[in-house]
Amino acid sequence: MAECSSGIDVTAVRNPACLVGGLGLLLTTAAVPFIAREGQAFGFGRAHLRLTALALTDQFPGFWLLTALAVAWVAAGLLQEERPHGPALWGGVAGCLLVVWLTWAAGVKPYAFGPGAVLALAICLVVLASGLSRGGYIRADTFVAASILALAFFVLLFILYPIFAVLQHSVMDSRGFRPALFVDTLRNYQAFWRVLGNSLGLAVFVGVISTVIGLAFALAATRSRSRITVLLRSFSLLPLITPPFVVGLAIILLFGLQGFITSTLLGLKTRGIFGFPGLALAQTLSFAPVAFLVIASVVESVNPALEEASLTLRAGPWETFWKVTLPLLRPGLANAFLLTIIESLADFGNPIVLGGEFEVLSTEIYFSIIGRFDQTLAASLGIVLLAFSLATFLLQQCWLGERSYVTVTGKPPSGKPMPLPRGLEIGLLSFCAAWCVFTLALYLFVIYGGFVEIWGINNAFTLRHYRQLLRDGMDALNTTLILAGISSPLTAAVGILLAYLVVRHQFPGRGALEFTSMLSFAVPGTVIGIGYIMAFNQSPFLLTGTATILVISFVFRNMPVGIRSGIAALAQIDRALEEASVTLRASFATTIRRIVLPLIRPAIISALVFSFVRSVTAISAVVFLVSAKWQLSTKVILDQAENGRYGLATSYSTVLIVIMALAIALMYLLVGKRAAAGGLEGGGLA
Amino acid sequence: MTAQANPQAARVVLEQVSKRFGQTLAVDQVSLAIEPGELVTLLGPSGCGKTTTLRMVAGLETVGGGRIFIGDAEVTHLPPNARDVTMVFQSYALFPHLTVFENVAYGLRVLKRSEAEVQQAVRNVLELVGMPGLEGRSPSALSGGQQQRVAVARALVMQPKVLLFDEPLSNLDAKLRKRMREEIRLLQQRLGITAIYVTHDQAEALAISDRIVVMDRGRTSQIGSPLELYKAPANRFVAEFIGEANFLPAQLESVADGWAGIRIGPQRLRVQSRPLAVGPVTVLARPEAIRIQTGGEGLAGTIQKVSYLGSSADYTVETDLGSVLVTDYAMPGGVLSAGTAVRLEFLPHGVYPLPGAS
Ligand SMILES: Nc1ncnc2c1ncn2[C@@H]1O[C@H](COP(=O)(O)OP(=O)(O)O)[C@@H](O)[C@H]1O
Ligand SMILES: [Mg+2]
Repeated sequence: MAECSSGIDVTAVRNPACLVGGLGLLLTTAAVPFIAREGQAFGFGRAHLRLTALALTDQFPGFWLLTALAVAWVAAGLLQEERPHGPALWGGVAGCLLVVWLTWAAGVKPYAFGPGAVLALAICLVVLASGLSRGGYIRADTFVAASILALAFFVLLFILYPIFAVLQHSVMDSRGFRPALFVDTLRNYQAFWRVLGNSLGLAVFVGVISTVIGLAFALAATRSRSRITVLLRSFSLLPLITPPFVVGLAIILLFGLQGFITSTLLGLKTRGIFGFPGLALAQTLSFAPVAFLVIASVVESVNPALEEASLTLRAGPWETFWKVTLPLLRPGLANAFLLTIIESLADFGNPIVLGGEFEVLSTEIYFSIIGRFDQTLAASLGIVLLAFSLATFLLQQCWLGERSYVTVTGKPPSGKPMPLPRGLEIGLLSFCAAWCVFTLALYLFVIYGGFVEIWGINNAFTLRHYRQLLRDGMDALNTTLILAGISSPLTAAVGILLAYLVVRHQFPGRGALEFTSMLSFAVPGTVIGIGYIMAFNQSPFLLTGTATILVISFVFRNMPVGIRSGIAALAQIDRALEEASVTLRASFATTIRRIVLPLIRPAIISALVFSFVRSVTAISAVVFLVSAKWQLSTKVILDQAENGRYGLATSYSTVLIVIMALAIALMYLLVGKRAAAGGLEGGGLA
Repeated sequence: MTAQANPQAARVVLEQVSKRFGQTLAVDQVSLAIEPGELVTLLGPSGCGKTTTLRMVAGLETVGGGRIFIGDAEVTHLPPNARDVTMVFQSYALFPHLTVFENVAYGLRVLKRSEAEVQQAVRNVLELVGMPGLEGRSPSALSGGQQQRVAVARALVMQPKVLLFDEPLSNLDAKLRKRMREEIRLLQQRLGITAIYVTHDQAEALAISDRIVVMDRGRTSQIGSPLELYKAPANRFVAEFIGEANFLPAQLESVADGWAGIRIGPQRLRVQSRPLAVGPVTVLARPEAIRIQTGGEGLAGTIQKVSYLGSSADYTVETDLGSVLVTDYAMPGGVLSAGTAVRLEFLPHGVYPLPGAS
């Protein structure tokens, strides 16, 4: 390596990456168990040594290739090379494929991957990365190249592969690959058209209503001079941070069979709220805030000069509002509408507690797996749900058009926006205030519900539910908090690193990496959930039933939170700062640590808090992944609610709400109001 | 060329370096050799590829084709932090969360120099750029000129093999710009450091460079000393970009030994020239090398427009050969008024036949 050795003596190492990589790989093949027996923990005992790559060569000669690669690298590292990146590059590619293939081949026999496989893959990736960096394929050092490769690998394994597994299960069963299986399954499933119609109808209905309400809130909050808009903002965002079915529970407490309004006040005994009415109400309450945030940012970006121009052209405030302001908001409205549809399609928590006879795709997928044990049906329904979600997502991306996240700049236009016409302002404010009071009332009822014996039947005050919670619910709560606590820094790290790579570096596949990682937002949780149990329940990737798979699902479900925070924060930083740092001899890793991270600290904290919040409140994917050993709070609440034990469900929900509120308050304290609000937006949207 | 030899200063060689962004060929086969201690300027209109070339030398941009050498080593594919090249950025790029001292010390700390060494080096270099006593300030509390000095200090303290400047003065006002460019030049000569300087301002380029590379749409148009570029531009683009220029049709009558006999309108004169074919040519005539008189010999014309600029007057004169711009510094007869009939006499030192037919 001519450029490397110029200052060193001629006999020195020609290719240190290959040498170190080769030695490491040699050690790995000889001493670290490449595979693990199912159900057996990783370890380094004598028994495990029999599972190293070298020891396995007699069973599986393919392992010799890995050893050969290691030896070749050591040789390349010591010998002179004309094209210095060749061995690292091609050896790295070969090594990665080899490890994956060997893992797979060994997995066919009943073995899971072991630490050796992970280590060998990591070594091959790093050596490959050094080859890419040295070969000039990427304008950065080995660290950056290795990060790109590693993240791409994770995204492939934990986002695309599970989706592929669902696809695979929809056309493949014990009798092999049959493309017609998908159609046959759905045809034999009588309720299909009704369920599909329910899902789509509900989504469109909620989309329209939420967009209208979101628009009302956005106009009131950004254009009104009244003080109460601050309150509007905070209260309307409440549903974003609470467990998904809290709203559903509250509606049952108010309008259900023993509902406060229906039964106590009106004396009705009706289950009418279960089904479409209740669901539509619950989803509107939950998703209108999303629409609000999207539309508000568009309202704020409308250039006031346009409205001023209209006013000077003799148009009155009403005419200006109808002919100038509203048309300018059209893309924002479309965007909010589509996002709400995605959320509604994916929603699992509300339908499961409120759906009643009104089945939707996400709950039917759940019952196919949990009740009917029919993986093919679950997968087929999953593919249908996924198709509609993705189509909506793609439509929304096209609508956004050129305005990729990377190119968004946060410069507000100057000038003062036009105030709303007086009549409109009063109307909007009263409506929004009423909506907020209603939302607040729902939360109060949930809290109250935890303190009564049996809702609507015996309204005596009791701490019984909390005592039971302390006795039976603490394990799940601890597990939830610990796993969310583990996954939140990982999510923030992965998301922000990915944002950094996508925003700051050029590499082949950059767009695909960004798109795929944002995709995990459009993939409904139930689909990812069944994807995970289908992809990771067999050798070599045996993860179901472990805490690891819960953490992984948290990290990759919530990654968009970190990505959004990171992209928004990086857009505010002159990239010349990082370039100055690397020309001052700092490595890219040092630059990230000493320049980037200190400057985007608020984004990191908000990513940490929101990925924590979202992990604690997650249900749709993890409902498939929890096990007796690793139980989560949301699943416990769900089970209680399904059995009509609303007292325990609401008291548990109250505890979660308090924890979430504390986490958010902590964030406000740490990063200040502006950044916190920005984080809330990212957390809500992603 | 250099005031003192600097053992650290390195030769920089670009061999047919190219870079493409999607459809645009930003840099097209640029070759260039920069001697140790030399200051070479990349000059050209906005978008011609100067910054991209500079960034490839720094390693901030991947090299599309060709090779780059610094000193004896090829660095084409080395990451920026392995190159021993520092850069002064257009936006200064001072780290906002670090003090002036820590900004300058940043690179030394990365290299894990001892605390004593860091203290010593940072104070020395801040003194060198004329900024002692502000070590504890935050960059945002400095004026534009002071930020500029800190940025230069931060780059210098690393004693790099090559120092790069990307339009470092474009954020300063005109007066300060002039002073800073002199300071940068003095510093560079005193330290004998190899430097590449990017600007689109021809006056700045002429004032500070040992040599100038004129770039046009990704290609090098001409490489030469400021005087060469001004006196003997290789083509119309260079002539137009550097100084003011008239392009007039003329007749090349004879060529020998680097001299040419040419006829512009009625006037015959002998000028320095590269070897060219006899026949019609386009000549470059600098406005300040044309004498304007109300009588006598020369190309006849009428003044169309007069701009009085204080120390000089610009005339636009309509002639048979087209409109001619004349700058008169002497103004012996006072300022002439529009409509005056005049004669133009071309002075040999400001006339140069351009290669290529008219
Ligand atoms: N990162 C980039 N992506 C795409 N095009 C670029 C990029 N950087 C520069 N260009 C294009 O390359 C050409 C040269 O740019 P640049 O080197 O910045 O010019 P200069 O510094 O001379 O103004 C321009 O056409 C510019 O638009
Ligand atoms: Mg430039």
